Amino acid sequence: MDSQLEIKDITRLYKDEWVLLISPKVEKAKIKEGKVVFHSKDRGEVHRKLQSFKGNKALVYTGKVPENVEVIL
Amino acid sequence: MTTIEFDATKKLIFLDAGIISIDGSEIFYVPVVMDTGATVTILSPDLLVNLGYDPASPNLPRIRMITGSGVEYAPCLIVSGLVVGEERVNNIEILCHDLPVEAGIDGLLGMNFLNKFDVIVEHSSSQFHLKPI
Repeated sequence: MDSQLEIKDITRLYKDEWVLLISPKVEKAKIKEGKVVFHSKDRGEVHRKLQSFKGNKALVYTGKVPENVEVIL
Repeated sequence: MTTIEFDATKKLIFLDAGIISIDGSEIFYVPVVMDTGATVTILSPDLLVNLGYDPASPNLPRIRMITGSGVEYAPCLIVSGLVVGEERVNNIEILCHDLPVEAGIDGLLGMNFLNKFDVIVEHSSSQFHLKPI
């Protein structure tokens, strides 16, 4: 977890997880790469870790909304 | 003008919005959904705490929020800046509220951000455009 990874690799390595990145690279409102510092399937656990990391960061969810679910926010 | 590509195979328009910290020194990108059905932008309180804001402050107004499942109350605070692509809106009101984890997002980009722009959604090219008014 100590190198800059592209988002496609983050998605592959940490499937269906909430992933916290530092040094994120962002283009057109999409995360392109970053350095993974924490990951979990539990969003709350990732939130509780936030204070450990200062500086620019990004939170990514690598899962998908289930196909058989309709969303009304 | 900012042009953002989205995945047209998904049912919602997902993007990564940047929240500016209270002292302006940090930016935190979080997954949100563009939501013209939300009058105000919503972000998780935990994210805001990390950026120096205090959503638990008793001095904050608590706003009545009408949702699909009923009426709730959530604290409202001013964030120094919200960034989408090349566009930034300063001093924007945010409702502090956790969204269901199943949605895979940590916020909603609501109309109090979107109404600063001409918003053009092109499903044919999987792009949307934000043109400052």
